[in-house]
Amino acid sequence: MILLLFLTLLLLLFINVPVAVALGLSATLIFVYASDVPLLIVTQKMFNATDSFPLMAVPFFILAGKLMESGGISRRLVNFANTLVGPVRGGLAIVSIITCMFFAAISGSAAATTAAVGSILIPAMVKKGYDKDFSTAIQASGGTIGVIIPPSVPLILFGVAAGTSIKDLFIAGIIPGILIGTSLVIVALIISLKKGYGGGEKSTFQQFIRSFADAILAMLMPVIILGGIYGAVFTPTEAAVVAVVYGLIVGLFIYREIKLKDLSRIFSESVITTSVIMFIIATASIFGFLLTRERIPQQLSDLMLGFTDSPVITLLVINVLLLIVGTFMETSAVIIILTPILAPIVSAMGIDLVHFGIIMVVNLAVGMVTPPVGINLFVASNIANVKFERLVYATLPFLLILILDILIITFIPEISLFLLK
Amino acid sequence: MDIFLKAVQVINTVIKYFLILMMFVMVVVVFLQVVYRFVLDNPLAWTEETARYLLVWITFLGAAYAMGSKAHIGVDLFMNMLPKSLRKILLIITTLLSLVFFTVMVTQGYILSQRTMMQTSPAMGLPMGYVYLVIPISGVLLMINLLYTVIGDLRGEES
Repeated sequence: MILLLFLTLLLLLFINVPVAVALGLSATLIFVYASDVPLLIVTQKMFNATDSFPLMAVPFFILAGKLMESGGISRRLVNFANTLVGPVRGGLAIVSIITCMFFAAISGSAAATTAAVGSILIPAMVKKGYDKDFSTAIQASGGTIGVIIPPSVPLILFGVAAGTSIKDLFIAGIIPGILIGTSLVIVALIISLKKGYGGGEKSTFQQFIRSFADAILAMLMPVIILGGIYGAVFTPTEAAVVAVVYGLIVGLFIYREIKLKDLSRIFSESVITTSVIMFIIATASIFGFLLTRERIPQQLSDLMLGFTDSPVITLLVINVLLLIVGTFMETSAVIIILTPILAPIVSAMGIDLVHFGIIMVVNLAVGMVTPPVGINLFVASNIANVKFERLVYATLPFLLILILDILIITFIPEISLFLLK
Repeated sequence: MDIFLKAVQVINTVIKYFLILMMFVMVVVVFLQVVYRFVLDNPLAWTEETARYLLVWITFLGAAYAMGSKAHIGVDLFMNMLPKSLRKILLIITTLLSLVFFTVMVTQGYILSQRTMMQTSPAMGLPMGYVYLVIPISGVLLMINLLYTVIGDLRGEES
């Protein structure tokens, strides 16, 4: 019966039935075919899964990210970072990654980070003589930090699915995010030095002060959001709504780059992104109910324990699985589907669930720049108008260091858990 | 057929503005909760419940709206490898399969809503049947939006 369930799901996904419908339909068909559970449970589960206050952080962080994108905040962050490190060799490459890290601390999405920072920096880098493929590759890989440095939509989804504290996950994501950012800077710097990219006029102290003053409101935003969550002042959902209101005020009244007529576009785009994720959550809960009822996670976990009791091997196997799945399926969907299955397995091995959440999100983030279908590669190649194949080639050095980062984060739990102790 | 397509576009425009309004109200309500708790130290009882039900409505109505703009995530990698004629047949099959699921949403959502009309929500005393009503409504809207996009796709293949 369970084999049938998974086969039905895979078949439906294979013929391009939307993920949300595939999850709900496969579970519903099995209900009708092989159980006496009343069908009413389908709509009941869908309702209960979406009737959640913690999940409300998802639409708010999506909305906050879109407000930042349109509100001129990314441009100001770029300018400030540029006066800091712009003049050195590979300066703009470093600016790209640092801005991605800052932007990541505001927005919860990788594609948004790539789009917001890339649309400004790729043209700027090309103008300064950087190779276009290389500039685009930096943006694609830099954007992955978007989901690792908190706030992060995938981490919220993991927290809800695994029943772990979202706040702990957010704290645990900080050092891995910085590690990945630093490693990308190193690769970008080495390539820039070899090819002689960048360098140029130094900015004056006055320029520095001006760009700092201009960007201060943008930089205060992560301080308010993350400070509020870590200081236990706000729940993540409340911090997210504060971010939305802050973004609205700054964008509408202070920077004045958002016009009232832009708001309907920003809101409706956020609604679509939100309901696509939330609808998957709704239907995945039917699927999850069936799994739990049949004790599938326990059975899989027993199976895995019979095969090996080494956490190292288990994590390696899961890493490979996630990297593969992450290349052709969207991050949020993978987290919603796989977390309830994988969490019991790793718990049985004595692996900390917060640490596992970070492993999962980092893996899936790297999947976004892994060919053939990494979403960040598509976003970046679109905004820069670079051929996909050339971008894949230019991204390879970054991809290699990212895979090394995955291994480091997986096998040194302290990197994630240090700040929690 | 063209009347159907036009009608769907009108319905979707209405839904769009309704969704924007609900999203905006959700922001205001949760922000009020923050202000009342931290600034005025006088927590409100109804804000969390209102916001949660708004999220449910946004989820399901938004899913129908997203269907109309083909925003739902699927795995198209394998389909794109297939020849055109086969793809067309599969498109019809997947449409019928999706309609099966939406039918379940409509019928079971309707039953659920009817059975819970007498229950009221804890904070606001709202009949739960009205809150649940979004599931059958969205089921119908998902159906017509699916047909709307599929008609567009099939026409596109022919021309």
